[in-house]
Amino acid sequence: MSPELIIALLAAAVQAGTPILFATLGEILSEKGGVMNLGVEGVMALAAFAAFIVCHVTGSAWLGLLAGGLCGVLLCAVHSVVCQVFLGNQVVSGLALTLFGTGLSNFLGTPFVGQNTGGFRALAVPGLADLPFLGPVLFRQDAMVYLCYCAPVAVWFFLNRTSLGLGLRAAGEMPAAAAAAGLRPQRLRALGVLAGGFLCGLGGAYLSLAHTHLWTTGLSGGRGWVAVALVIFAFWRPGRAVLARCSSAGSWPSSCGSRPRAPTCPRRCC
Amino acid sequence: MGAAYAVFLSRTRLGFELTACGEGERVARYAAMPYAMLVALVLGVGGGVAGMAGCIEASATLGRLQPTIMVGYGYTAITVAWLARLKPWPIAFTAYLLAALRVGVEVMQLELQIPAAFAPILEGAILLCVLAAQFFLGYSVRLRDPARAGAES
Repeated sequence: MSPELIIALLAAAVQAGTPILFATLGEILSEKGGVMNLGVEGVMALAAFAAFIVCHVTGSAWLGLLAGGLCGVLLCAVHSVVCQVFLGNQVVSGLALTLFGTGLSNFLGTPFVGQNTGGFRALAVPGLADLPFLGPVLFRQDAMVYLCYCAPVAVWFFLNRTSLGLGLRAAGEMPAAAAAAGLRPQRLRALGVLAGGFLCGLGGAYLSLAHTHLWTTGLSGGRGWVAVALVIFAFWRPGRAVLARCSSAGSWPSSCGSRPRAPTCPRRCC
Repeated sequence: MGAAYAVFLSRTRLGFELTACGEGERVARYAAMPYAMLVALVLGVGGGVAGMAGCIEASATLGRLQPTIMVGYGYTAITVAWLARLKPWPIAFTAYLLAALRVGVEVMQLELQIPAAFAPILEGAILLCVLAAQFFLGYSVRLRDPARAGAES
């Protein structure tokens, strides 16, 4: 393989890994709070649609991003209510969320299949983009990829260096002890689920706003399940999620052919 | 098949042990039931029955092999099982209901141009409602009498 091809492949891998990393971080937050959320796939699909439609109507990619995140919060609020208020089975509730989210996004998105949207464009970081090898791979991406470089650090800082993060972990590990320490475990858990939903929503929004720039049915394409698997692979740690994402994302750009602006990367080069 | 399933679960010793294991692991262990063996058995039997469903679908209903042979039947099955509250007899009824939903949605797509993605939306919503409503099987809502609550405190 020529160096250009390798660079293009690695850059495509960074892009393909971004939504998965967001969703993985969201799932880590949720599971650290003691609620397993198997609805990531549905949340991502619906958030992708919400981001697409808002960006399509208003023309602003950032508003679309916000809409995707809020959509994730909304859907995970349902999960939180079913699991925490009504004490439903977390696994089944998550599966129901997946069914509901993918179904609703396909249902609402049918009239928009194939339509383009603006979304995020690649912008080079001044200085860093001219680095010999890392520049084109890491620093000639769109704004959401740069956001995704900061996200694991932010999640790690929140979980390990703030009192709220400590409370969240305590509520996940042992709610009774957290309650004895004067915390409110149910509220903290709900916070974890909702914050996780926001991150999953951002991951979904990336798919329609920056990855494809158009709407198709089944846009999430199983990435939510990959995220759920990567949480276990990353051992519930944000730092390792980056490693897990690096190792798995390499296999994605070669196998998913839904990228209209694909660079010189052939579809099956592995 | 369904009848055999029901008889197995309610009338045989193995079926009783399985139910007991599902209800409470520690109690089942205390009663000297081989918990791990039973779980492995259940997973095997469950996989076998699900495989049989796929086999029937491919060999009898369709008669050929396609890449998209199962369009979300597995998820529908989860809804069916929970709607029947995990009991064998009502499953026949709820399976029929959800099959009617799927067929009805296909007719709706043909006649009214409503996308077939309507079915999973309904299935997901039904499943969420069933989960939430099961809460009320164990707990009943009782309005607190303000006068009496004041007297107690």
